[in-house]
Amino acid sequence: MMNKIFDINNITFSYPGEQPSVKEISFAVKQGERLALLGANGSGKSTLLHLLDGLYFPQSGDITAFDNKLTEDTLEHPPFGPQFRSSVGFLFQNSDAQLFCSTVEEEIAFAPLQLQWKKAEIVQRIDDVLNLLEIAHLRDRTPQNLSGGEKKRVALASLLVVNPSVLLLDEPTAGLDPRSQSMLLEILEQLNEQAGITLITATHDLTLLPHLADRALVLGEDHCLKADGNTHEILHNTDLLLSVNLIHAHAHRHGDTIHRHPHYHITEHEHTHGIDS
Amino acid sequence: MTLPPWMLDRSTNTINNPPKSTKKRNPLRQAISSLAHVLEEMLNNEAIANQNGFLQMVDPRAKVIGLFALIIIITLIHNITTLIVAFAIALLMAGLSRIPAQRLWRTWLAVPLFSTAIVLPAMLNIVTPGNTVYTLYHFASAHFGVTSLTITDAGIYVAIRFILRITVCITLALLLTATTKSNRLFHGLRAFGVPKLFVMLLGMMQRYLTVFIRAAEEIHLAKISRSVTNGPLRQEQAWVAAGMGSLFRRTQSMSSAVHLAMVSRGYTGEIYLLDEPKWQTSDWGFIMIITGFAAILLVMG
Repeated sequence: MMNKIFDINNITFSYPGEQPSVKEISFAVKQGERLALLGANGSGKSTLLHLLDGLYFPQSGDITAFDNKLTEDTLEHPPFGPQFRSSVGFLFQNSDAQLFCSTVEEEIAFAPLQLQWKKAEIVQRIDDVLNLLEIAHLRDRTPQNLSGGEKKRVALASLLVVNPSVLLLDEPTAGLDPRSQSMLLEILEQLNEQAGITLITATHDLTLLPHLADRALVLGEDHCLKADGNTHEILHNTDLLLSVNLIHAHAHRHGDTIHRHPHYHITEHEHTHGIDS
Repeated sequence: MTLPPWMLDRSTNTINNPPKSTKKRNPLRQAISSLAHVLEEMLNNEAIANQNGFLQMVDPRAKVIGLFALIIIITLIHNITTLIVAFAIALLMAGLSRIPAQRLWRTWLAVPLFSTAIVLPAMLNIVTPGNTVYTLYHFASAHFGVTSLTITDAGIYVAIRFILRITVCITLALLLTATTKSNRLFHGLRAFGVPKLFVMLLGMMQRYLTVFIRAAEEIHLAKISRSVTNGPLRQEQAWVAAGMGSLFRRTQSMSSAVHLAMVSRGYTGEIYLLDEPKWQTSDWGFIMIITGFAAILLVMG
């Protein structure tokens, strides 16, 4: 039986002076799972990832990670703080925010240096992740001169170097060209299958969902959890997807007939012509 | 969705009070394009630093120490011939380091900018007495014992020496900055005891400078794409203030995101950096060569 690594118990979080971004949400994540947080823009997916990474803390409810309560206090003290930071990697949506060092090598070295690993081991790990992600040629480059796909791979390398058991991915494929997207998805799939890394991905891109997750949590525009189920079931629940603004009904033309139906291009869907013509 | 009727009209939009064409450039546009130019310059520098040349092979700490020492020696030299030799040495190093001639020219063009204001008065008899080469003005009566304003031979000598000295120093500074990646240059500062945190901050500052220059350029281009003409001064000022505000908000949001990204990867307030590699034989060799050059220049005087 898989171990529970995150246990989220009825958490609510608001940014100062604002309405709750995450409201009374509970769920658990098991080791090796591929979980997607689905929701429209502003539904609280990114905030939830920040909460799971111990960057924000809920005003009510609690989060347990690796059998420890995730609080400012527990994260500040060893051994749990450094252990948690090396076990959970967070891939930010904006790679420019994540890549703050002057070179790719320094970027990848940052986390192991903060964890005060031995220099020889750091150098070896840097070599390994650069080769794994096929970015060895970028080693001395400055992040600002990299393409979007390269930045994403460097950001991922900077997380993988400490061999995390969980990756939190905030819209990982946003802004990437199709080749970079498929390359990233392939890498993530291998990391999950071969290394057993748990993947928790925030996205609103239904087309990529089957490649990213086996289970999906759906957040509504009221910031509450609307559904928790396997990806296949969620993708076929048209009423649910419509209600949370992940798909929309629109009119389009087939020959002379204009008709209207919920629209997304992820699964096969049947419809009758002439419904709304 | 029903489009309003005016949106269906494809005839050309009428412009009330169309602007007169003007050749005067908007100073703001110039400032933004200069910023973009700086960005391009930084990227070009990296292209030179990536080449396989003489100075590119030397450790930045050795370069900082060697070239800085050479600059100090140049400031002590008074003989024009010696300065010409120093200039030749600098050119030789530039050639061996594959610095394009165009890059050197562009740097030398900055010399008059710094030196003209100082050099012009120094050529006059009232500052540097000597034999008259050219008379600029005759006074009707003597002022403080001076009857005319002239350019003197001693003044010209001082001016040439000054310009030559500035040119050599600027060339040596270019050799350092153009052949060294900025991050390595910052790391080189640690040889002078600069704290790690300061080195890291310098690197981050340079890293995000380019991000925000691009953001400023985007804001500016978005404005240009919707502008028919420059508005009244107040309107332009209001736009600049709004643009600055927008950029400031972006910097704040980015700095907060960067901090979270650092915390997420184990940052607790203490900075640890990769060790700089140990000095190689070539680095000591470079210091020996620079010492040799310095000795020649000092002997020549």
